[in-house]
Amino acid sequence: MLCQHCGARPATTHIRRTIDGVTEELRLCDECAAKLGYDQLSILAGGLLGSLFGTELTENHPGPAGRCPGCGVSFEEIARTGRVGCAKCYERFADRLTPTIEQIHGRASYAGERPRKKAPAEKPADPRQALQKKLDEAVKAQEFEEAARLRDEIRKLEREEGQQNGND
Amino acid sequence: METTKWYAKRGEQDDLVVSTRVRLARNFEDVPFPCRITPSGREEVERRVCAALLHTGEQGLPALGVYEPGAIHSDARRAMAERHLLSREFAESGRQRTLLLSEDESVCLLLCDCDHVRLQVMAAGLELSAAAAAAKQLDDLIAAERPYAFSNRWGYLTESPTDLGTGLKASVLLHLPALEATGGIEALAKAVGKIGLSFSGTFGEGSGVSGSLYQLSNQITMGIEESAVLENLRSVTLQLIAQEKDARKALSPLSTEDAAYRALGLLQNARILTVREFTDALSRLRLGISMGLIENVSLQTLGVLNAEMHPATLLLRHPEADSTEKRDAVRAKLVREQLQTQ
Ligand SMILES: [Zn+2]
Ligand SMILES: [Zn+2]
Repeated sequence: MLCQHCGARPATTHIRRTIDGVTEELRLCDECAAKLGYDQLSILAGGLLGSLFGTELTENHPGPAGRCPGCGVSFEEIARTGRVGCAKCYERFADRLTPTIEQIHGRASYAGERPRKKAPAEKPADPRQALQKKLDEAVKAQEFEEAARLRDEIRKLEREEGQQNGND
Repeated sequence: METTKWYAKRGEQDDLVVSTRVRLARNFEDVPFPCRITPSGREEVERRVCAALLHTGEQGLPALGVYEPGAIHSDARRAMAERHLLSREFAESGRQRTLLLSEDESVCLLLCDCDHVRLQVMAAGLELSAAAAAAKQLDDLIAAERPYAFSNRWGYLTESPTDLGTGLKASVLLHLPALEATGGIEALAKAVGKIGLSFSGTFGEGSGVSGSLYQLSNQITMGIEESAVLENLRSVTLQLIAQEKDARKALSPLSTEDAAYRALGLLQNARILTVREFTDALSRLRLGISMGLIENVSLQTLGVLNAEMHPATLLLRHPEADSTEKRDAVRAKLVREQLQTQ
């Protein structure tokens, strides 16, 4: 089916809108849809607040570039269903989601509590282990100056630890 | 012996505030939301939440039972909706989800429905801070298992952008018969709407507000701290209570007492009780108790009657009551028994 506006390009967007009880259906190409103001913002608003705007998008097939790397959803699908696919969608489509989110929640930014972080591991990792690993790598790469510096650092740590234990 | 359900307990201002509910919506950051989730993602969410909440019984919280999808049949789901454990929409849908539920029914978690986790805590009376504290404790346990989907800009990330922010919905169920009678409800609904709260009647079978019960809840989840949301809700609740008490002063004491005793007489003697009759009588009886006109019926009994006499809950415990007429008779019998053991 060809676009009902230009009659030249294939229609990719199906818009149904209800104004004062009269339902109107439009099949448009991407360009005409954008030109007529049925850009993705208004489409998103329509999907989320469908009963208010009566706008619906039913066809559109973006390639992989238009999809969320986390869940594979396209912005058009989010707009149609009003459902976001995963946490990464909020980053991937931030620019296009923001107007709708502001429409719902206003411009106020988040002011609540932050989630509790995972409890820290029982014992902090031994800094000597990390240094020893770096030292092994430096030796392997024949970076002897760096290796000497790392060895001194390890010795220093060992000395400090010996002192601490002695004080106990 | 059966655990005492939350609705058979006491709470602050429980003559006017029937119940408090606090809900949190949460998702994990590394699993697609329920609309895009795979079976293995679903299993992963269930594994994490169950692992996090395995020992709640030893952590000052109620122990939770796990109900696999399909473990709770449709009649039981409807009964749970009557007791506000699930939404009516979910109960009527065929969607099968994992549920975690405490024996006293104060804690209920629904997994992978609208969000990975929908956590709910209920309490009798006006107990916003206690319910919120319990919800937070459970929330922290889950957060310690795996990171939540969270952004500095929008807070807790949810499947529906309308739920972004704190993910917190708190509500109280109020008994406001005098305000209802004096026609002050509509103006109140408008006024609280302006300060970010919503106020609505609870509708039973047939038309009209059921038992003069109204729900007050927060609307706003962005740009406000959880503690401020709870404080606002509490202070508006206290104002509504004060207004209701004022409105009660205008009622004729003798006709209120008469109405309360007639309601008690009906509940103690009827052989057939429809939901409508029962709800109206319970409302008049509650008003009588609250105003100190009736002393030998406890608010706990009222809580139990209010929770357990609705059709699906009745049917579940009395499968023989398989028609409206039979249930009306069983209801009358159970109510009589409850009010005799006082
Ligand atoms: Zn066109
Ligand atoms: Zn995504």
